[in-house]
Amino acid sequence: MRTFIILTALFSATASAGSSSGGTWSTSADEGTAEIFVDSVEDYGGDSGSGDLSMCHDGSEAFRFFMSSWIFFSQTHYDTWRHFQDGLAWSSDFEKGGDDDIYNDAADFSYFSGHGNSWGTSFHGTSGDDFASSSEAQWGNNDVEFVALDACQVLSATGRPRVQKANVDQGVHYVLGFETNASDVSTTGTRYGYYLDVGYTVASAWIQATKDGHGSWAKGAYVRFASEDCNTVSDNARSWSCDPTSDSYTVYNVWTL
Amino acid sequence: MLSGFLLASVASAMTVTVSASLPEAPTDVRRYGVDTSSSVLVGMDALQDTFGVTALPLEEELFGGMEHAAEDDLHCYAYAHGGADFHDAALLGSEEAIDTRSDAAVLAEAEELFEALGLAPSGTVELVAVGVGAHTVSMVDNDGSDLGSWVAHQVAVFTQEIDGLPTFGPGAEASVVTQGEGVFASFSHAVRNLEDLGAADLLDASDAVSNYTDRVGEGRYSLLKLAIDGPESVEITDVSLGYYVPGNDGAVSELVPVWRLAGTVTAEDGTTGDVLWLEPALADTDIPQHAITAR
Repeated sequence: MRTFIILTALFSATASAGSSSGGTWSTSADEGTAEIFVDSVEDYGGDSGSGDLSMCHDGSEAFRFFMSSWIFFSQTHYDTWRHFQDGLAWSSDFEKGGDDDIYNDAADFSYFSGHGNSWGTSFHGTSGDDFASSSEAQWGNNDVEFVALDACQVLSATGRPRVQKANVDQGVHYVLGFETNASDVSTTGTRYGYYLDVGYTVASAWIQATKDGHGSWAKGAYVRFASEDCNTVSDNARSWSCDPTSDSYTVYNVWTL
Repeated sequence: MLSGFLLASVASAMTVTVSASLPEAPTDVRRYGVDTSSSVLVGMDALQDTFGVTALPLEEELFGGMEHAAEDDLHCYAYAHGGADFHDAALLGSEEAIDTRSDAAVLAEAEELFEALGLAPSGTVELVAVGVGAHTVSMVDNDGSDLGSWVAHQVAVFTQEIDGLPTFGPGAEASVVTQGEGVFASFSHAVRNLEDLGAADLLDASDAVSNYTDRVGEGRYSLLKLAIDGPESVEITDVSLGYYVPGNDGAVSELVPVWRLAGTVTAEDGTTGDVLWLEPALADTDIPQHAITAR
């Protein structure tokens, strides 16, 4: 059972082993509340699983820090967040048959850092089946606009169509990730949060953040959903278009890092 | 030179084998500190002049200390440790099609840009062209049917060589992202001024592999975030020596020599995936960017 102490004051936060939170979490499609959801996994049970990682928590926390703080030119202030780590991060947080609507899909910006492959993302939780398949997603039908998957290959040539099919017309604007393998570095999360904070578009922030932490051996990618009425190309952390929920087209962008 | 041996069946169920030839450790490798007392290679003035940014730069403590000048969508970053970045945040996210140019033209333009910025490394460091990449955009309709694809940016990539050795890490490469002739979306480099700290007493490649095998037994076997269900064995197919160059994320005092181990992990069901690891080549230096401590 995961529990939080909910604090409502600005800048207030609480943390316990494996989780942190701030603000009053809402599970409704509350477009007026700025919310962040983060799952990060480093403990995969050693080499019996996919092998442990070391930088996922740091990068995720830095992402959350920049998004929830007033810094420099920032007009963003995502002071409401939920961050689960290791055993408390569950695959069901991202699954339509699980608790997606009250975690990932209750936020505006969502971030996962851990292992992945072209079928989805991997967990090592105290609950769930430990694998959130792309086909189990239905993102945006509640609230989430931007889902970043800081993991290998989820948006590979075979992964992108799975993400597209599961999420088209559901309302999510962007699914951000990698076509190729990704490195276990904190840079991606750190810079993504920083660039969003200083006003870059979601696309530019992810493109540059992935470049900053990798070499040209890797490729970043995003899947962008849009429609005639809802053009998401210029979305940023301060304002974004309406949700593409019907007759949507999909843009794939893949870049050399 | 060693090759083709089963190194160990580590404490866990995983085995590590080495099919790579293990190179001899060179005897003339130097230790290089990062000299922050002299002028950085690409300063804020050069960035602002070249990219037409007139805003007053602000000093920030982030990322090891930097100056940041922002004007509309243009951002210049000059880091105290020597790196520099420029981004046009509007162009970088553009999905518009461009008329592509030849690789030679894109690389030549990038070299001209380096010259204009003053990015001329010392004899110790050389920037060597790697090639030209791209941002490729494609579109599908509601049913997932293809609606076409095109190139939105071209990327000129150069890598640092230090005393002829390759470099690894996020700062190893300098790149220029272009949307057409003279239209720059991004520039990035992490070339530092180096000072010679003396000869490096390197661990042998076999020591590096042995240290890596110990780490596998402790639960970490790759720097890649690749999900593999039930990994059984790792085969190291390449071992090479180079310098680790951090990106522009924070202060850096030394560029450390590392052994780069690359190979393949195989799972119980026969699934395979890439493995990549960096092992410190000096007994007293860590790779903190990956939480790897020396042994």
